[in-house]
Amino acid sequence: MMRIWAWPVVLALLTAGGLAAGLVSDGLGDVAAWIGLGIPVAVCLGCSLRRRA
Amino acid sequence: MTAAAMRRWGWIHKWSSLVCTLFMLLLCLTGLPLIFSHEIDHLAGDGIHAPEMPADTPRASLDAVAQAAVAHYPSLVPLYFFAGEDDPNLWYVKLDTRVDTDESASRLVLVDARTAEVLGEPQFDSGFMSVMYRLHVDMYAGLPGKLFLGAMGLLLVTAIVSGVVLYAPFMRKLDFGTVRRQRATRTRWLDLHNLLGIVTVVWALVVGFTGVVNTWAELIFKAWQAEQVAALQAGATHTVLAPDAAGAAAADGSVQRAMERALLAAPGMKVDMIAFPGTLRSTPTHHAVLLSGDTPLTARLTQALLVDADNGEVLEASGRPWYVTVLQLSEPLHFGDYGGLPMKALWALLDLITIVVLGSGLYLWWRRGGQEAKP
Repeated sequence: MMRIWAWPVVLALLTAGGLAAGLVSDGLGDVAAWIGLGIPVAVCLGCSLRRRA
Repeated sequence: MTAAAMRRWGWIHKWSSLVCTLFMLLLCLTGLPLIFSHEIDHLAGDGIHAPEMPADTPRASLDAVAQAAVAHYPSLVPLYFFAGEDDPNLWYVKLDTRVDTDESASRLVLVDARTAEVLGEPQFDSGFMSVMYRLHVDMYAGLPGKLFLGAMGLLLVTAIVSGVVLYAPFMRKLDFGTVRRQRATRTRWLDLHNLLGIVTVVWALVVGFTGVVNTWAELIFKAWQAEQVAALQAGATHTVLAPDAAGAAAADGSVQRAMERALLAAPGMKVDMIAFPGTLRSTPTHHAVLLSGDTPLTARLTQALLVDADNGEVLEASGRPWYVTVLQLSEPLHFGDYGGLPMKALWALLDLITIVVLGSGLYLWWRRGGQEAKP
């Protein structure tokens, strides 16, 4: 259970936090949004472009 | 998960996705340029700009602005003023044949807020970006088109939820992020579909569901208007500025005065929109003035005041209902326009990843039947 869901839950929380942060505050909130959305995007690119599984 | 439950969820996932996938691909492709519509307009030089003038140049009265717009389209009547988002010296005046049309044939005229001179018409209804917009919003089919795309969006939400349920059984023997490259092509795409789908699940759910809410915008505004009219009839409104309030210039029947009185009743707010009586956003006997604050959240969550067209009384008819709050939050969360260019770039990447998820899902269905599909 933990093994399957740990990463998806972390990335889901990051995304949700990022989406909300940008909405409630400018400046720092925007930076938090870039990080919160940027990490899941980086994970997508990293895992799919990696040479060896 | 039992084999029977898994078959059931598999059936839900297959059919909810199959029905909506082609429409979702259309929405992802047309949505991609729309993320950057602001930047594209600027680059293309399509924007109309107000001429430079000293910052303290006095502003023309709203009535003069309306007159200029009507002189431009003598057969039409004004419905709304929208404040220029980037340029406070611009008013967008929306006109139509009557105040209570469905606005499908409405016209927008850009007027200089200081000279009340018509600057032109924004070209929202021609060119590449307009085609993208119409395909994305209603496929040129008006409200039925919007509601249809909204229904497709609900199917997408169903597909995402069922996909999450199916994620665990498929990943039982695999580590997070595994893409089995040495295996058959279908297995590789299955792994990619699962990986990209689960990583972007919150974003896809949020953008999908807020898109659905946006398709209901007209219905939501109609419901709010009905609620305001009902509150007025029941006398259940809250007076913010009495007709004879001290220190406020009395009503004189002008829109300008109506706006001034609304601003006096809500200090520190700025005007986003003004609606003439009888339109979708006002009531038959009131001007509506939509005000926004200057924090990121209050800039989105607008306050609506009604100004009696006869005596100038400023009212708040039942505060903003929850469904309007949901709609107003759904706009930025769908457009991704609230965190500068980096956020738009991330929005575009997530959109592209969603295209891969949709495309790989279609491929997995097309190449179905292999044993490797089973977990």
